[in-house]
Amino acid sequence: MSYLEIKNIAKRFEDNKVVLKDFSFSLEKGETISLIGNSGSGKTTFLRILNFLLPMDSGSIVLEGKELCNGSSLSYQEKQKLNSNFGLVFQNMNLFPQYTALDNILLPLKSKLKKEAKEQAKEEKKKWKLIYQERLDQEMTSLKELASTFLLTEKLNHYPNQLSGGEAQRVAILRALVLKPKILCFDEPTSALDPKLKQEVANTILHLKKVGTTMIVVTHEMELALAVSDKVIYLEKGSIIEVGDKSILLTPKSDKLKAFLSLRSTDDESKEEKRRAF
Amino acid sequence: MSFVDVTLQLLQGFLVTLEIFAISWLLAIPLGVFFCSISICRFKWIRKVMSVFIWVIRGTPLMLQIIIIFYVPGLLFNLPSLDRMVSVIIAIVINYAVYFSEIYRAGYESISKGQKEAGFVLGLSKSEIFFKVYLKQIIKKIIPPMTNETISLVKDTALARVITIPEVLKSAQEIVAKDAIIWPLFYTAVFYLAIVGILSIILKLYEKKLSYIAS
Repeated sequence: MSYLEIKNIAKRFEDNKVVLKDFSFSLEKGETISLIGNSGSGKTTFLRILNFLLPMDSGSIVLEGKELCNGSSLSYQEKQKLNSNFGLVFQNMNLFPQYTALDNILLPLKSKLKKEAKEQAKEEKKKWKLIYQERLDQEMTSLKELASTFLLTEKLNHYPNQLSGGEAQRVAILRALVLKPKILCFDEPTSALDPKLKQEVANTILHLKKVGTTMIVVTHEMELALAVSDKVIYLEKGSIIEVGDKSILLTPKSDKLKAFLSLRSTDDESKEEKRRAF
Repeated sequence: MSFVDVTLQLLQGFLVTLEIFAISWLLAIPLGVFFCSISICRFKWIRKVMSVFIWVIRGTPLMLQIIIIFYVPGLLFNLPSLDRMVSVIIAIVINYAVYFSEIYRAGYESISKGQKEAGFVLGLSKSEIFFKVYLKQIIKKIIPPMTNETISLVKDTALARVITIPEVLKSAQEIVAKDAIIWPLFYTAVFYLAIVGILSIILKLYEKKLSYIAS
Protein backbone atom coordinates (compact mmCIF):
# COMPACT_ATOMS: atom_id res chain seq x y z
CA MET A 1 0.00 0.00 0.00
CA SER A 2 1.43 3.36 -1.05
CA TYR A 3 1.18 6.60 0.92
CA LEU A 4 -0.89 8.27 -1.80
CA GLU A 5 -2.74 6.40 -4.49
CA ILE A 6 -4.42 8.17 -7.35
CA LYS A 7 -6.74 5.78 -9.13
CA ASN A 8 -8.23 6.26 -12.58
CA ILE A 9 -9.13 9.92 -12.27
CA ALA A 10 -11.17 11.24 -15.19
CA LYS A 11 -12.29 14.79 -15.80
CA ARG A 12 -14.12 16.48 -18.62
CA PHE A 13 -14.89 20.18 -18.77
CA GLU A 14 -18.34 21.54 -19.61
CA ASP A 15 -17.49 21.78 -23.31
CA ASN A 16 -16.93 17.99 -23.17
CA LYS A 17 -13.18 18.42 -23.55
CA VAL A 18 -11.32 15.56 -21.88
CA VAL A 19 -8.78 17.02 -19.43
CA LEU A 20 -7.77 13.89 -17.54
CA LYS A 21 -8.22 10.30 -18.67
CA ASP A 22 -7.61 7.24 -16.53
CA PHE A 23 -4.98 9.13 -14.54
CA SER A 24 -3.28 6.91 -11.93
CA PHE A 25 -0.06 6.93 -9.97
CA SER A 26 1.21 6.24 -6.49
CA LEU A 27 3.56 8.10 -4.21
CA GLU A 28 5.50 6.96 -1.16
CA LYS A 29 5.98 9.03 1.98
CA GLY A 30 8.85 11.51 1.62
CA GLU A 31 8.92 11.15 -2.16
CA THR A 32 8.65 13.97 -4.65
CA ILE A 33 6.90 13.50 -7.95
CA SER A 34 6.98 15.96 -10.82
CA LEU A 35 4.23 16.28 -13.38
CA ILE A 36 5.50 17.67 -16.65
CA GLY A 37 3.83 18.35 -19.94
CA ASN A 38 2.69 21.11 -22.26
CA SER A 39 0.06 23.66 -21.32
CA GLY A 40 -3.37 22.04 -21.38
CA SER A 41 -2.02 18.59 -20.61
CA GLY A 42 -4.05 18.39 -17.38
CA LYS A 43 -1.28 18.90 -14.78
CA THR A 44 -2.84 21.88 -13.05
CA THR A 45 -6.32 20.37 -13.32
CA PHE A 46 -5.05 17.36 -11.41
CA LEU A 47 -3.62 19.56 -8.63
CA ARG A 48 -6.94 21.41 -8.43
CA ILE A 49 -8.80 18.10 -8.14
CA LEU A 50 -6.40 16.86 -5.48
CA ASN A 51 -6.96 20.05 -3.49
CA PHE A 52 -10.75 19.89 -3.89
CA LEU A 53 -10.92 23.05 -5.97
CA LEU A 54 -12.45 21.03 -8.80
CA PRO A 55 -14.61 17.91 -8.63
CA MET A 56 -13.51 14.87 -10.59
CA ASP A 57 -15.91 12.88 -12.75
CA SER A 58 -14.66 9.49 -11.58
CA GLY A 59 -11.71 7.86 -9.87
CA SER A 60 -10.48 7.94 -6.33
CA ILE A 61 -7.88 9.47 -4.06
CA VAL A 62 -6.51 7.19 -1.36
CA LEU A 63 -4.23 8.55 1.35
CA GLU A 64 -2.60 6.25 3.90
CA GLY A 65 -4.97 3.47 2.82
CA LYS A 66 -8.07 5.55 3.40
CA GLU A 67 -10.24 6.62 0.47
CA LEU A 68 -10.71 10.40 0.69
CA CYS A 69 -13.05 10.79 -2.24
CA ASN A 70 -14.40 8.88 -5.19
CA GLY A 71 -16.11 11.50 -7.30
CA SER A 72 -19.24 11.84 -5.16
CA SER A 73 -20.29 15.40 -4.37
CA LEU A 74 -19.07 16.84 -1.08
CA SER A 75 -20.13 19.81 1.04
CA TYR A 76 -17.81 22.80 1.55
CA GLN A 77 -16.96 21.61 5.07
CA GLU A 78 -16.31 18.03 3.95
CA LYS A 79 -14.07 19.22 1.13
CA GLN A 80 -12.17 21.50 3.49
CA LYS A 81 -11.68 18.75 6.06
CA LEU A 82 -10.25 16.43 3.40
CA ASN A 83 -8.27 19.24 1.86
CA SER A 84 -6.39 19.76 5.14
CA ASN A 85 -4.30 16.73 4.14
CA PHE A 86 -2.88 18.73 1.25
CA GLY A 87 -1.16 22.05 0.87
CA LEU A 88 -1.07 24.00 -2.37
CA VAL A 89 1.37 26.67 -3.45
CA PHE A 90 -0.16 28.56 -6.38
CA GLN A 91 1.67 29.64 -9.49
CA ASN A 92 0.93 33.32 -8.74
CA MET A 93 1.26 32.82 -4.97
CA ASN A 94 -2.17 34.33 -4.15
CA LEU A 95 -0.83 36.07 -1.06
CA PHE A 96 -3.37 38.36 0.60
CA PRO A 97 -2.17 41.89 -0.31
CA GLN A 98 -3.71 43.56 2.75
CA TYR A 99 -1.68 41.54 5.22
CA THR A 100 2.04 41.48 5.98
CA ALA A 101 3.97 38.30 5.22
CA LEU A 102 3.63 37.28 8.87
CA ASP A 103 -0.12 37.90 8.93
CA ASN A 104 -0.50 35.98 5.65
CA ILE A 105 1.05 33.01 7.43
CA LEU A 106 -0.76 33.54 10.73
CA LEU A 107 -4.28 34.02 9.33
CA PRO A 108 -4.82 30.36 8.30
CA LEU A 109 -2.69 29.08 11.16
CA LYS A 110 -4.76 30.93 13.77
CA SER A 111 -7.99 29.81 12.11
CA LYS A 112 -6.84 26.18 12.23
CA LEU A 113 -5.60 26.40 15.83
CA LYS A 114 -8.85 28.05 16.92
CA LYS A 115 -10.94 25.23 15.42
CA GLU A 116 -8.71 22.58 16.97
CA ALA A 117 -8.64 24.31 20.35
CA LYS A 118 -12.44 24.51 20.42
CA GLU A 119 -12.77 20.79 19.68
CA GLN A 120 -10.15 19.91 22.29
CA ALA A 121 -11.79 22.20 24.85
CA LYS A 122 -15.09 20.37 24.39
CA GLU A 123 -13.46 17.01 25.07
CA GLU A 124 -11.29 18.13 27.97
CA LYS A 125 -13.77 20.69 29.35
CA LYS A 126 -11.16 23.43 29.40
CA LYS A 127 -11.26 27.03 28.20
CA TRP A 128 -10.48 27.00 24.47
CA LYS A 129 -8.63 30.30 24.63
CA LEU A 130 -6.04 28.84 27.01
CA ILE A 131 -5.45 25.83 24.74
CA TYR A 132 -5.33 28.11 21.71
CA GLN A 133 -2.79 30.50 23.23
CA GLU A 134 -0.57 27.65 24.36
CA ARG A 135 -0.63 26.07 20.89
CA LEU A 136 -0.07 29.42 19.18
CA ASP A 137 3.01 30.11 21.33
CA GLN A 138 4.43 26.71 20.35
CA GLU A 139 3.69 27.29 16.69
CA MET A 140 5.22 30.77 16.77
CA THR A 141 8.51 29.28 17.96
CA SER A 142 8.64 26.77 15.11
CA LEU A 143 7.42 29.43 12.67
CA LYS A 144 10.33 31.69 13.58
CA GLU A 145 12.75 28.83 12.99
CA LEU A 146 11.17 28.04 9.62
CA ALA A 147 11.24 31.72 8.63
CA SER A 148 14.92 31.80 9.42
CA THR A 149 15.54 28.65 7.34
CA PHE A 150 13.61 30.24 4.46
CA LEU A 151 15.62 33.49 4.85
CA LEU A 152 12.45 35.41 5.58
CA THR A 153 13.05 36.69 9.13
CA GLU A 154 13.73 40.24 7.95
CA LYS A 155 10.78 40.22 5.58
CA LEU A 156 7.97 39.10 7.86
CA ASN A 157 6.70 42.64 8.43
CA HIS A 158 6.67 43.47 4.73
CA TYR A 159 3.54 43.49 2.60
CA PRO A 160 3.45 41.20 -0.48
CA ASN A 161 3.95 44.20 -2.81
CA GLN A 162 7.24 44.90 -1.03
CA LEU A 163 8.63 41.40 -1.56
CA SER A 164 10.58 40.06 -4.53
CA GLY A 165 8.97 37.22 -6.52
CA GLY A 166 11.22 34.68 -4.81
CA GLU A 167 10.46 36.02 -1.34
CA ALA A 168 6.73 36.07 -2.05
CA GLN A 169 6.90 32.48 -3.29
CA ARG A 170 8.78 31.43 -0.13
CA VAL A 171 6.14 33.15 2.01
CA ALA A 172 3.46 31.23 0.08
CA ILE A 173 5.36 27.98 0.71
CA LEU A 174 5.76 28.79 4.41
CA ARG A 175 2.05 29.70 4.65
CA ALA A 176 1.10 26.28 3.27
CA LEU A 177 3.75 24.47 5.31
CA VAL A 178 2.79 25.75 8.77
CA LEU A 179 -0.57 24.01 8.40
CA LYS A 180 1.41 20.74 8.34
CA PRO A 181 -0.13 19.15 5.25
CA LYS A 182 0.69 15.52 4.58
CA ILE A 183 1.43 16.32 0.95
CA LEU A 184 2.60 19.68 -0.35
CA CYS A 185 1.69 20.55 -3.94
CA PHE A 186 3.35 23.16 -6.12
CA ASP A 187 1.77 24.58 -9.25
CA GLU A 188 4.53 25.93 -11.49
CA PRO A 189 6.41 27.39 -8.50
CA THR A 190 9.16 29.01 -10.55
CA SER A 191 7.48 29.88 -13.82
CA ALA A 192 6.99 33.58 -13.07
CA LEU A 193 10.50 34.13 -11.70
CA ASP A 194 13.80 35.19 -13.18
CA PRO A 195 16.73 32.69 -13.08
CA LYS A 196 18.17 33.96 -9.78
CA LEU A 197 14.81 33.85 -8.01
CA LYS A 198 14.09 30.45 -9.57
CA GLN A 199 17.21 29.15 -7.88
CA GLU A 200 16.09 30.57 -4.51
CA VAL A 201 12.74 28.76 -4.74
CA ALA A 202 14.36 25.57 -6.05
CA ASN A 203 16.69 25.61 -3.02
CA THR A 204 13.68 25.93 -0.73
CA ILE A 205 11.96 22.94 -2.37
CA LEU A 206 15.23 20.98 -2.13
CA HIS A 207 15.41 21.80 1.56
CA LEU A 208 11.85 20.50 2.02
CA LYS A 209 12.82 17.31 0.19
CA LYS A 210 15.79 16.83 2.51
CA VAL A 211 13.59 17.07 5.59
CA GLY A 212 11.28 14.40 4.17
CA THR A 213 8.29 16.43 2.87
CA THR A 214 6.11 14.50 0.44
CA MET A 215 5.61 16.72 -2.59
CA ILE A 216 3.89 16.91 -5.94
CA VAL A 217 5.44 19.47 -8.27
CA VAL A 218 3.83 20.64 -11.48
CA THR A 219 6.50 22.31 -13.55
CA HIS A 220 7.73 23.34 -16.95
CA GLU A 221 11.26 23.68 -15.65
CA MET A 222 13.25 20.56 -16.44
CA GLU A 223 16.12 21.69 -14.20
CA LEU A 224 13.77 21.90 -11.24
CA ALA A 225 12.22 18.53 -12.06
CA LEU A 226 15.67 16.95 -12.32
CA ALA A 227 16.80 18.48 -9.06
CA VAL A 228 13.85 17.60 -6.85
CA SER A 229 12.07 14.56 -8.31
CA ASP A 230 12.13 10.95 -7.29
CA LYS A 231 9.51 10.18 -9.93
CA VAL A 232 8.44 11.99 -13.07
CA ILE A 233 5.19 11.74 -15.00
CA TYR A 234 4.90 13.09 -18.52
CA LEU A 235 1.34 13.98 -19.46
CA GLU A 236 -0.18 14.80 -22.80
CA LYS A 237 -3.84 15.64 -23.39
CA GLY A 238 -4.79 14.25 -20.00
CA SER A 239 -3.10 10.87 -20.40
CA ILE A 240 0.11 9.59 -18.91
CA ILE A 241 2.60 9.03 -21.73
CA GLU A 242 5.64 8.08 -19.70
CA VAL A 243 6.36 7.54 -16.02
CA GLY A 244 9.56 6.63 -14.26
CA ASP A 245 12.35 7.96 -12.10
CA LYS A 246 13.99 11.23 -13.02
CA SER A 247 16.34 9.50 -15.46
CA ILE A 248 13.51 9.57 -18.02
CA LEU A 249 14.25 13.26 -18.38
CA LEU A 250 17.74 12.39 -19.61
CA THR A 251 16.95 9.20 -21.50
CA PRO A 252 13.29 9.32 -22.51
CA LYS A 253 11.76 6.21 -24.02
CA SER A 254 8.66 7.56 -25.75
CA ASP A 255 8.93 9.71 -28.87
CA LYS A 256 6.45 12.18 -27.40
CA LEU A 257 8.59 12.85 -24.32
CA LYS A 258 11.68 13.08 -26.54
CA ALA A 259 9.93 15.70 -28.67
CA PHE A 260 8.75 17.60 -25.58
CA LEU A 261 12.21 17.65 -24.03
CA SER A 262 13.95 18.72 -27.24
CA LEU A 263 11.43 21.53 -27.63
CA ARG A 264 12.06 22.62 -24.03
CA SER A 265 15.83 22.63 -24.50
CA THR A 266 15.48 24.67 -27.72
CA ASP A 267 13.25 27.08 -25.81
CA ASP A 268 15.72 27.33 -22.95
CA GLU A 269 18.63 27.91 -25.34
CA SER A 270 16.80 30.68 -27.19
CA LYS A 271 15.80 32.26 -23.87
CA GLU A 272 19.42 32.12 -22.72
CA GLU A 273 20.58 33.68 -26.01
CA LYS A 274 18.02 36.47 -25.69
CA ARG A 275 19.07 37.05 -22.09
CA ARG A 276 22.74 37.28 -23.09
CA ALA A 277 21.96 39.57 -26.03
CA PHE A 278 19.96 41.83 -23.73
CA MET B 1 -28.81 92.49 5.57
CA SER B 2 -25.37 92.49 7.07
CA PHE B 3 -22.73 89.86 6.38
CA VAL B 4 -23.21 88.39 9.88
CA ASP B 5 -27.00 88.16 9.44
CA VAL B 6 -26.61 86.44 6.08
CA THR B 7 -24.02 84.05 7.54
CA LEU B 8 -26.29 83.14 10.44
CA GLN B 9 -29.27 82.53 8.16
CA LEU B 10 -27.19 80.46 5.76
CA LEU B 11 -25.74 78.49 8.69
CA GLN B 12 -29.27 77.47 9.64
CA GLY B 13 -29.82 76.24 6.08
CA PHE B 14 -26.45 74.55 6.15
CA LEU B 15 -27.46 72.55 9.23
CA VAL B 16 -30.44 71.23 7.24
CA THR B 17 -28.03 70.38 4.37
CA LEU B 18 -25.79 68.50 6.80
CA GLU B 19 -28.77 66.66 8.28
CA ILE B 20 -29.97 65.51 4.85
CA PHE B 21 -26.43 64.50 3.87
CA ALA B 22 -25.57 62.63 7.07
CA ILE B 23 -28.82 60.66 7.33
CA SER B 24 -28.87 59.81 3.61
CA TRP B 25 -25.22 58.76 3.56
CA LEU B 26 -25.53 56.57 6.64
CA LEU B 27 -28.64 54.83 5.28
CA ALA B 28 -27.47 54.53 1.65
CA ILE B 29 -24.26 52.69 2.60
CA PRO B 30 -25.98 49.60 4.13
CA LEU B 31 -28.84 49.71 1.62
CA GLY B 32 -26.21 49.65 -1.13
CA VAL B 33 -24.78 46.45 0.40
CA PHE B 34 -28.27 44.92 0.25
CA PHE B 35 -28.75 45.98 -3.38
CA CYS B 36 -25.29 44.67 -4.24
CA SER B 37 -26.02 41.29 -2.65
CA ILE B 38 -29.14 41.07 -4.86
CA SER B 39 -27.11 42.08 -7.95
CA ILE B 40 -24.63 39.24 -7.42
CA CYS B 41 -27.03 36.59 -6.08
CA ARG B 42 -27.20 33.28 -7.92
CA PHE B 43 -30.84 33.59 -9.03
CA LYS B 44 -30.85 34.96 -12.55
CA TRP B 45 -34.39 36.37 -12.51
CA ILE B 46 -33.75 38.29 -9.25
CA ARG B 47 -30.61 39.74 -10.82
CA LYS B 48 -32.69 40.75 -13.87
CA VAL B 49 -35.28 42.53 -11.69
CA MET B 50 -32.47 44.33 -9.88
CA SER B 51 -30.81 45.41 -13.11
CA VAL B 52 -34.13 46.93 -14.31
CA PHE B 53 -34.47 48.75 -10.96
CA ILE B 54 -30.89 50.07 -11.28
CA TRP B 55 -31.60 51.18 -14.85
CA VAL B 56 -34.71 53.11 -13.75
CA ILE B 57 -33.02 54.83 -10.81
CA ARG B 58 -29.85 55.71 -12.72
CA GLY B 59 -31.77 56.70 -15.81
CA THR B 60 -33.99 59.33 -14.21
CA PRO B 61 -32.99 62.60 -12.53
CA LEU B 62 -32.81 62.64 -8.75
CA MET B 63 -34.93 65.81 -8.76
CA LEU B 64 -37.72 63.91 -10.51
CA GLN B 65 -37.44 61.05 -8.00
CA ILE B 66 -37.83 63.52 -5.11
CA ILE B 67 -40.94 65.00 -6.74
CA ILE B 68 -42.42 61.55 -7.42
CA ILE B 69 -41.89 60.34 -3.83
CA PHE B 70 -43.37 63.53 -2.39
CA TYR B 71 -46.37 64.00 -4.71
CA VAL B 72 -47.30 60.65 -6.28
CA PRO B 73 -48.73 58.86 -3.19
CA GLY B 74 -51.22 61.75 -2.80
CA LEU B 75 -52.01 62.16 -6.49
CA LEU B 76 -52.44 58.50 -7.39
CA PHE B 77 -53.62 56.85 -4.19
CA ASN B 78 -55.09 59.80 -2.33
CA LEU B 79 -52.71 59.13 0.53
CA PRO B 80 -51.44 61.95 2.73
CA SER B 81 -48.10 63.27 1.50
CA LEU B 82 -44.99 62.16 3.31
CA ASP B 83 -43.09 64.67 5.40
CA ARG B 84 -40.91 66.78 3.06
CA MET B 85 -37.70 65.87 4.82
CA VAL B 86 -38.60 62.17 4.83
CA SER B 87 -39.42 62.28 1.09
CA VAL B 88 -36.09 63.87 0.23
CA ILE B 89 -34.16 61.43 2.37
CA ILE B 90 -35.98 58.39 0.89
CA ALA B 91 -35.28 59.59 -2.66
CA ILE B 92 -31.61 60.35 -2.01
CA VAL B 93 -31.06 57.11 -0.06
CA ILE B 94 -32.53 54.93 -2.85
CA ASN B 95 -30.71 56.84 -5.57
CA TYR B 96 -27.32 56.74 -3.86
CA ALA B 97 -27.75 53.17 -2.59
CA VAL B 98 -28.03 52.12 -6.25
CA TYR B 99 -24.83 53.96 -7.18
CA PHE B 100 -23.05 52.62 -4.08
CA SER B 101 -24.22 49.08 -4.88
CA GLU B 102 -22.65 49.27 -8.33
CA ILE B 103 -19.39 50.47 -6.77
CA TYR B 104 -19.47 47.61 -4.24
CA ARG B 105 -20.21 45.13 -7.04
CA ALA B 106 -17.30 46.38 -9.12
CA GLY B 107 -15.06 46.17 -6.04
CA TYR B 108 -16.21 42.61 -5.29
CA GLU B 109 -15.75 41.46 -8.86
CA SER B 110 -12.29 43.00 -9.08
CA ILE B 111 -10.90 40.63 -6.44
CA SER B 112 -9.25 37.70 -8.18
CA LYS B 113 -10.79 34.25 -7.87
CA GLY B 114 -7.39 33.07 -6.69
CA GLN B 115 -7.87 34.88 -3.37
CA LYS B 116 -10.99 32.82 -2.68
CA GLU B 117 -9.22 29.62 -3.74
CA ALA B 118 -6.24 30.44 -1.54
CA GLY B 119 -8.62 30.99 1.38
CA PHE B 120 -10.25 27.63 0.70
CA VAL B 121 -7.04 25.60 0.45
CA LEU B 122 -5.76 27.31 3.61
CA GLY B 123 -8.80 26.05 5.49
CA LEU B 124 -10.63 29.34 5.99
CA SER B 125 -14.41 29.20 6.37
CA LYS B 126 -16.66 31.04 3.91
CA SER B 127 -17.23 33.87 6.40
CA GLU B 128 -13.50 34.14 7.13
CA ILE B 129 -12.83 34.36 3.39
CA PHE B 130 -15.37 37.16 3.03
CA PHE B 131 -14.56 39.18 6.12
CA LYS B 132 -10.81 38.59 6.41
CA VAL B 133 -9.75 38.16 2.78
CA TYR B 134 -12.29 40.02 0.62
CA LEU B 135 -13.70 42.86 2.69
CA LYS B 136 -10.54 44.88 3.36
CA GLN B 137 -9.46 44.54 -0.27
CA ILE B 138 -12.89 45.67 -1.45
CA ILE B 139 -12.93 48.66 0.93
CA LYS B 140 -9.52 49.77 -0.30
CA LYS B 141 -10.65 49.53 -3.92
CA ILE B 142 -13.94 51.35 -3.46
CA ILE B 143 -12.77 54.31 -1.40
CA PRO B 144 -11.83 56.56 -4.37
CA PRO B 145 -15.17 56.10 -6.20
CA MET B 146 -17.06 56.30 -2.89
CA THR B 147 -15.31 59.61 -2.17
CA ASN B 148 -16.57 60.93 -5.51
CA GLU B 149 -20.12 59.77 -4.82
CA THR B 150 -20.04 61.20 -1.30
CA ILE B 151 -19.03 64.58 -2.68
CA SER B 152 -21.83 64.37 -5.25
CA LEU B 153 -24.25 63.53 -2.46
CA VAL B 154 -23.29 66.67 -0.53
CA LYS B 155 -24.05 68.78 -3.62
CA ASP B 156 -27.23 66.88 -4.48
CA THR B 157 -28.76 67.83 -1.13
CA ALA B 158 -29.42 71.17 -2.86
CA LEU B 159 -32.18 69.39 -4.85
CA ALA B 160 -34.25 69.31 -1.66
CA ARG B 161 -35.28 72.89 -2.47
CA VAL B 162 -37.67 71.60 -5.17
CA ILE B 163 -40.05 70.64 -2.40
CA THR B 164 -39.19 73.82 -0.46
CA ILE B 165 -36.90 72.38 2.18
CA PRO B 166 -34.87 75.29 3.55
CA GLU B 167 -31.39 73.91 2.93
CA VAL B 168 -28.49 76.29 2.40
CA LEU B 169 -29.15 77.13 -1.27
CA LYS B 170 -32.87 77.64 -0.64
CA SER B 171 -32.01 79.90 2.30
CA ALA B 172 -29.77 81.97 0.01
CA GLN B 173 -32.50 82.18 -2.65
CA GLU B 174 -34.90 83.50 -0.02
CA ILE B 175 -32.43 86.21 0.98
CA VAL B 176 -31.93 87.11 -2.68
CA ALA B 177 -35.70 87.39 -3.21
CA LYS B 178 -36.34 89.29 0.01
CA ASP B 179 -33.38 91.70 0.10
CA ALA B 180 -32.56 92.01 -3.59
CA ILE B 181 -28.90 91.10 -3.11
CA ILE B 182 -27.21 88.38 -5.17
CA TRP B 183 -23.96 87.70 -3.27
CA PRO B 184 -25.47 85.33 -0.61
CA LEU B 185 -26.13 82.90 -3.43
CA PHE B 186 -22.41 82.81 -4.33
CA TYR B 187 -21.51 82.74 -0.65
CA THR B 188 -23.16 79.30 -0.29
CA ALA B 189 -20.23 77.86 -2.24
CA VAL B 190 -18.04 78.46 0.83
CA PHE B 191 -20.24 76.16 2.90
CA TYR B 192 -20.20 73.40 0.27
CA LEU B 193 -16.44 73.72 -0.20
CA ALA B 194 -15.87 73.50 3.56
CA ILE B 195 -17.80 70.26 4.02
CA VAL B 196 -16.46 68.72 0.81
CA GLY B 197 -12.92 69.66 1.89
CA ILE B 198 -13.33 68.07 5.32
CA LEU B 199 -14.85 64.88 3.87
CA SER B 200 -12.11 64.61 1.23
CA ILE B 201 -9.40 64.89 3.89
CA ILE B 202 -11.04 62.26 6.13
CA LEU B 203 -11.52 59.80 3.27
CA LYS B 204 -8.00 60.43 1.96
CA LEU B 205 -6.58 59.69 5.41
CA TYR B 206 -8.61 56.49 5.58
CA GLU B 207 -7.39 55.49 2.11
CA LYS B 208 -3.81 56.11 3.25
CA LYS B 209 -4.38 54.02 6.36
CA LEU B 210 -5.36 51.10 4.15
CA SER B 211 -2.28 51.30 1.94
CA TYR B 212 -0.19 48.16 1.83
CA ILE B 213 3.11 49.68 2.88
CA ALA B 214 4.99 48.59 5.98
CA SER B 215 5.80 51.37 8.42
